[in-house]
Amino acid sequence: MTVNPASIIDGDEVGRDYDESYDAVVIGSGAGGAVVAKELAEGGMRVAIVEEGAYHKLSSHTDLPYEAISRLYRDRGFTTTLGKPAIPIPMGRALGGTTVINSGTCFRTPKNVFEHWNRDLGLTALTRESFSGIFDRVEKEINVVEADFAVMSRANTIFHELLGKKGVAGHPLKRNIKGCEGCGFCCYGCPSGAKQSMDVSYLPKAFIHGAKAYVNCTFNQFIIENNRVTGIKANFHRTAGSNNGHTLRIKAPIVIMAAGTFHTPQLLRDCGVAVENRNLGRNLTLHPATKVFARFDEEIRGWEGTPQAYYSEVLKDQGITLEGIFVPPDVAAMTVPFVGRRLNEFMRDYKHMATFGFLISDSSSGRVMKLPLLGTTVLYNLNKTDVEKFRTGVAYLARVFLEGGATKVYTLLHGYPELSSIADVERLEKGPLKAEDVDCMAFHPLGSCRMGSSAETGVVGDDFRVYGWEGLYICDGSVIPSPLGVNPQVTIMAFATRLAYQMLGKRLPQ
Amino acid sequence: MTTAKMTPVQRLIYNFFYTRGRRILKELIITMCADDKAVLNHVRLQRVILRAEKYVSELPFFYFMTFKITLYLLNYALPPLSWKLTPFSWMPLERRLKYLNEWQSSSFYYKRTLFKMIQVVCVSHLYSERRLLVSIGFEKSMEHRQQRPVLP
Repeated sequence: MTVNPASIIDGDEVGRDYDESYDAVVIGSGAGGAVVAKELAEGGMRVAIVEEGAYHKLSSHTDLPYEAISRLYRDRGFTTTLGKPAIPIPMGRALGGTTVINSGTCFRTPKNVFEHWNRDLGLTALTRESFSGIFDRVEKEINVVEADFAVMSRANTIFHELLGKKGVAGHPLKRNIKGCEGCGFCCYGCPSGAKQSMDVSYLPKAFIHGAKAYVNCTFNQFIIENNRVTGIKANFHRTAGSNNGHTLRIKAPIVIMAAGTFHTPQLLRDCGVAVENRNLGRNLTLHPATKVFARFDEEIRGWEGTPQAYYSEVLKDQGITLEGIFVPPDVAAMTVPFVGRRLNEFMRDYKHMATFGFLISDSSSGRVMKLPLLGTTVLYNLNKTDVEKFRTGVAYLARVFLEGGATKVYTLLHGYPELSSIADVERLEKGPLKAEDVDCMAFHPLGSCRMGSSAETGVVGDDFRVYGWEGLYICDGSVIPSPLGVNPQVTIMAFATRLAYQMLGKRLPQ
Repeated sequence: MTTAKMTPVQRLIYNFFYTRGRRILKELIITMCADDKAVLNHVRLQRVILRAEKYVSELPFFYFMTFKITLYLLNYALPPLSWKLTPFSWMPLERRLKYLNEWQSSSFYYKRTLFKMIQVVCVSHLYSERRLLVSIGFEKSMEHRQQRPVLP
C-alpha cells in the first residue's frame, strides 16, 4: 500500500499560506504519530499530520549510503550524544519517521516491564492484559511475522548454529514485513515496500479516511488560550532546507505531539509549555548497542539476506538482548578501529565476516536540552553497571564465535580490538574497561517526557495528556516510562492505539 | 544545515571554510587506505573528496566547524595533542600512518573521538564507491526496486 499524493501538501510545492481547522492535529508521522492519526481518522475525526521531513516514494530509495543517509536521516546521520562515550543515534526524518530506516524488528512490551510500571511507577492502568488486544491489532496492521530462515543473512544463521551447538535457545525475530526478499537495505529505506513502515501501512489508511499530511513543514508554536492548546503554527520549507516563506496555521481542539524522544521535550520547552515540570527532557534512556565481527574461513557474505532476523535472550537476566545485525561494507569500514593496511585487509576479508550484536536495557539516564550552537542536544553518560553489561555481552559473543571456529573476533571496545583466543576473552573479562572505551550506537531513545502517576514523576498521565495543560497530548517514544530492553516500535504503536481509542471513547480491542 | 538557517556570522564563517582543507582531506583519504592501488584504482578520488566535502557542508553548523577545525588540528597539530614539526599532508606515507594510528589508539578520549569523526567521513565516502564495493564482493544493487501502484 502506498501513499496517495493528493493527501499530501508538500512544502516544496505550496504557493500560499494555509489556515485550516481540524478535529485533531498530530506533530510527527513516525510510530506514534502515524498510528494515532490513522486510528482517529478511521474513527471519523478530521485529522492533520505535520511532518518536518519529506515524503519519499519507494522508487526513490537508493542503495548508495551517502545519498540515503543525506535524504532520510536527521542531521545526515550525525546526531550524537554529548558525554562518555559519545553515542551516535541514527534517526529518520521523513514521512513515516524512523520506521522508514529501522530494521523492522517487532517485540511486544515484555512482561517484566509491565510489572515494573504497575508495581514501581504506580501506572496501574498499563496492564499487560489491557494491551493484549491492542498488540493483536497493531501486529495485524503492520503484518508482524517471524523472519524466514530462507532469507536470513548467513551472519544470523551461523550464530543460530553456534548457539545450537552450545544448547542455548535463540529464535527468529518477528518483523513487520510482507514479501521481504532479503535485499538487506532496510536502513536505507526498503526499496520494495516489503517493510511495513508507517508510509506503507498506517499512513495510506489514514489518507483513505480523509487525513491530510503537511510535509516539509516545521512546527514552531502552539496556539494557547488559558492553559488550553487550541492549535499550532508551522512553517513550510523546501526539501533542501530553505524557507519558502509560507506558513501553516491549524486550529484544533486536540494537539498530539509525536515528534520523537529528542524533539518533543525541546519543542514543548521552546513554546513555554510544561517548563515547570522537572521531568521534562529528563529520564532519557537509549538502549545502547554494539556488535562484534567474527572472521570465518568460509565465505559468509552477510549482506545477502535480512541483516537483523535472529535473537537470543540468554543474557536477558543481565539486561542484555542479543540481536543479529549485519551492516553494509561502508558502515563497517567506518566503525572498525583500523586505518591503512589493516583497514584494507579487514575490508578485503569482509565477505568472511559474521557479525552479531546486542542492546542493553540501560540503567544510565540522560537529558535533552538546548545548547548554544548545538541546538537540541542530549547529555548522556554510561554508568559502571552498563559498562559491565557491554563487557559481558562482548565477551559472550566472542566466546560463541571463537568456540564455533572463528579465527578472529573484532570488537569495538578500546584496548581490545582483536581477540584471537579464549585467553584473549578472559583478558577482556578481567581487564580495565571505562565508559569512554565503549564504542556503541543507540537506536531507541525513550522516556524524555515519560508517563507518570503524577506531575512529580512524569510529564504526562496515563491518559497521555500533559499535566497542567488541556488539549495537549504526547504520543511517541518519549512517554515510554522506562527502558524496554527490546526494540520499542510495537510498544509505541500500542500506546498510540490506546490514546486513539481513549479519544474516540471506544472500548479497547480485546 | 542550509545557509538559510544560519546567522549572518555563521554564514560568513561557513562560506570561508567550505572548501578549505581540501588538500588535507585528500591526503587523509589516501592515508586511510595506505595509498593502496588495489583500493584507489577502483575509486574516483576527486569524486570521493567532493562528496565528503559536500556531506560535511550539510552537517549542523557545530559539527561542520568541529570537522574543519579537527582537520587543521590534525594537519598542523597543537602541542597538547601531538608533537611534530611537519604538517601531516607533507609527511611520507609511513609517518602519516603511524600518526593516524596514534590518534586512533590514543588514551586521550577526546582525541580518539575527534579522529573517529574524521574517519567516519573519509572512510564511509571511500567505501561508497560502487567499483570498490564490487571489488570486495559486494555486488548488491537495487535490482528489486519497484514502484507499487498508487492508491486511488
